[in-house]
Amino acid sequence: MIKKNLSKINFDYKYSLFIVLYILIYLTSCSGYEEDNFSNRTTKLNKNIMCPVCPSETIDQSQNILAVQMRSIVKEKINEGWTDLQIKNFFVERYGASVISTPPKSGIDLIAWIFPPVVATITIIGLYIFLRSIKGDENPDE
Amino acid sequence: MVDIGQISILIALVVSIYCSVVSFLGAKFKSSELMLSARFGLYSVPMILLISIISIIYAFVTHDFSVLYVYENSNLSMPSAYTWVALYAGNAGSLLFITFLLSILSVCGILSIRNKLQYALPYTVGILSILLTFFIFVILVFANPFDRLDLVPVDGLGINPLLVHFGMFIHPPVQMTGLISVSIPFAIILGVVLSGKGSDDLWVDIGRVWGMISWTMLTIGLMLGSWWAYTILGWGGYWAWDPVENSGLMPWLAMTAFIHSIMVQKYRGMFRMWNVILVVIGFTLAQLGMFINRGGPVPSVHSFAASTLGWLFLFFMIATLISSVIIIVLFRKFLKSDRRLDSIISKESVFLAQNILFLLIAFFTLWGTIYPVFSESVSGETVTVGKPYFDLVNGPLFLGIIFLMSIGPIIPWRKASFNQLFDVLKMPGLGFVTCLFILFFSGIRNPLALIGFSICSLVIINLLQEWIRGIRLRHRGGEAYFIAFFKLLWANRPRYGGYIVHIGIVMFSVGVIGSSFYSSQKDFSMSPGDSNIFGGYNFKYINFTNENYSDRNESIAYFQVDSNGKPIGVLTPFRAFYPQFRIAATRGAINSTPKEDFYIVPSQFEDDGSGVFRVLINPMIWWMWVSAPVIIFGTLFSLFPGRKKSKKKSI
Repeated sequence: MIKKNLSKINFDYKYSLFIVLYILIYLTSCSGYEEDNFSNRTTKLNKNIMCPVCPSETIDQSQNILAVQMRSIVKEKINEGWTDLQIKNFFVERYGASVISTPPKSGIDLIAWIFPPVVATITIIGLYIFLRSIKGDENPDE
Repeated sequence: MVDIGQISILIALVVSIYCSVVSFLGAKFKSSELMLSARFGLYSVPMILLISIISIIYAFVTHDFSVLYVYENSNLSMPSAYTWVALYAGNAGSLLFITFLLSILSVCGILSIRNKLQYALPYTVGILSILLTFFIFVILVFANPFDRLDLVPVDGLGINPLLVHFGMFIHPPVQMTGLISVSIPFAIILGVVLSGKGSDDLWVDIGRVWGMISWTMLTIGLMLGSWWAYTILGWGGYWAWDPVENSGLMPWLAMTAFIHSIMVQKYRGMFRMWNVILVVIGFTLAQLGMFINRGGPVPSVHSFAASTLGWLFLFFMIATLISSVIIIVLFRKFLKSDRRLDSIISKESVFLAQNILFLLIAFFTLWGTIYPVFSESVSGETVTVGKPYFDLVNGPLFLGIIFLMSIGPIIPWRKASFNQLFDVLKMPGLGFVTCLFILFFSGIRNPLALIGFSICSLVIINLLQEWIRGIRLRHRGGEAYFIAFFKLLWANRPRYGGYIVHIGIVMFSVGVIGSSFYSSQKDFSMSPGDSNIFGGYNFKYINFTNENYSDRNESIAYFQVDSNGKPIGVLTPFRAFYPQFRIAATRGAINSTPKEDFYIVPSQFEDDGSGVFRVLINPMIWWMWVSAPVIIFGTLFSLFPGRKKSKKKSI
């Protein structure tokens, strides 16, 4: 059954390719709009800075007065020529490390970053070893 | 009336304690009278709880502010339809509501296995009664919605104005049903295991159906939640990896793994133990959601304020987890597979790999959610784990899952040789590379988006190929193409329904990839009369109005919008301010097309109408919302009952 089906694949495949081609051409409308560097940077920073008084919302999301103020500080500092890192540090000094939306990549908090890739790699290697170890057991079930 | 509600909760507690004890005793002494008594006892719980629900609703409608919960969650000016919302808007009421849902679902669950899985019945009844007992006990002792105030206030506090919205009628009940409904497959499957009949695969079909029911509820709940966030909450996004969002996502991930791997058991008699483990994980994660939601240690937009109940739920979660593990270990010999995996190249291994990826995502989501607590206890400094982190950690895993989704359907069961594998993957591989080239040369340069879109196309290519092949085979048998299509789908509903869901997932992924890599946003300071251009859209701020309501002041802006010269119409974003709560809510106005959304929302609004307006262009996001009906249809289609019950080994 399987073999018979396999021999059919190449032929039928052509049809599906046409339809997908159409979808692809459609997808290319995604290629995006030109943005100016300034609003790009502000947006990116706003999305990475948390609003200190609103639980788990970034200043980009929040409508809180403090968030609005912080957004304008970000704009101001960019206009003054500060780097992203300087602006982030400016807020960290005031509100602590938790004002940045990701854990710092230094000290004890490196664990947060190292842990997932390490676990994922170990699991996937483990899965591979497990699957490789399978000796097709000649189980006469068919 | 309030006293009646109070008393009926007490009765419900007594009944469910009785049921849990008697049901297990009945199973131990093989007394059918005891078992029957427990079962009918459980049937009565929803009725008893309904009385307390009615009495609390009555208290709301009559504005009985002597009841603390009514005082805290309603006021005289509240539209009476929102009484229903107020019922589950607060901590105590939502617990009562969830318990009520659990009791109804329990009865449905018991009825569904009454004839087919009689041997598991007493255990399942017992497990469900224990769950009910716990919930009712918590309500009665720690979060009683019937608590009274000594001094009766004139007016209540009212509910958070952000909750006074139509979405509130649907999203929370569905989400709660989704979370609590994981208990049913959990109780049924654990009941089967306890009865020592785990090796008897009769439970597979019922387990699968219940798994899919709760999966569907969770899916709808999550979709509605993100749709609501996107259209209403006015920040232009739909998913923020907020702790409570995560706690809804994690059980969904585990249940997705479950409804796939149960198919392996259905068709191949394998993965028995694994499926039991998955459902236990799903249940545990759903309970973790309760813990996080009810005053757990992580702050969230959704949390119920000032509730320390979380720890109680954490304790219960650990208790159920430990007992489940003990049960699985004790009864492990009944959970052995009929056969082992034959080969690394087989549909079974793809399912297993997919399961592992889903669990990894769930695990990393959990890790990121609780990491701040861990970090604080170790270094004393609080950190935030937010969206950028989760996107980075989970994004590639999701891509991996979509990749498996593309090859899974075309890889044969059991064992394929490398030659076969090459044959199967030759054309899709070519198609994938073609997609990469086409997309690259037409301007998509972000590597992740490029790979993501190409893998999505691959899924579609492979599914269509499967369909076309089946239709042609049937056509050769003398059926017209059109009829062959429907007959093909109908003949193997679990499989083709699944494929329809896959198409929905691809639509969803296209929306996610498009909007995460290609959305643009910019803030514009504008006064009435100004116009601006952004991304091919020309928008003119015509005028604004202020409207005063009893509870809020609304400032509405009117924008005339054109897209590349084509008029779109007038969009009206607005900002509402609730003086009583000192909360401002903004609502975006969206012009949605399959290609992209034009989204405008006021972020600051002055009295003279000038303000800062945020404009977003989110490509492809329309597909995310359209995918929901497709996914639901596919699920229902694959659940549609057939005449033949067990089709094991027929493939």
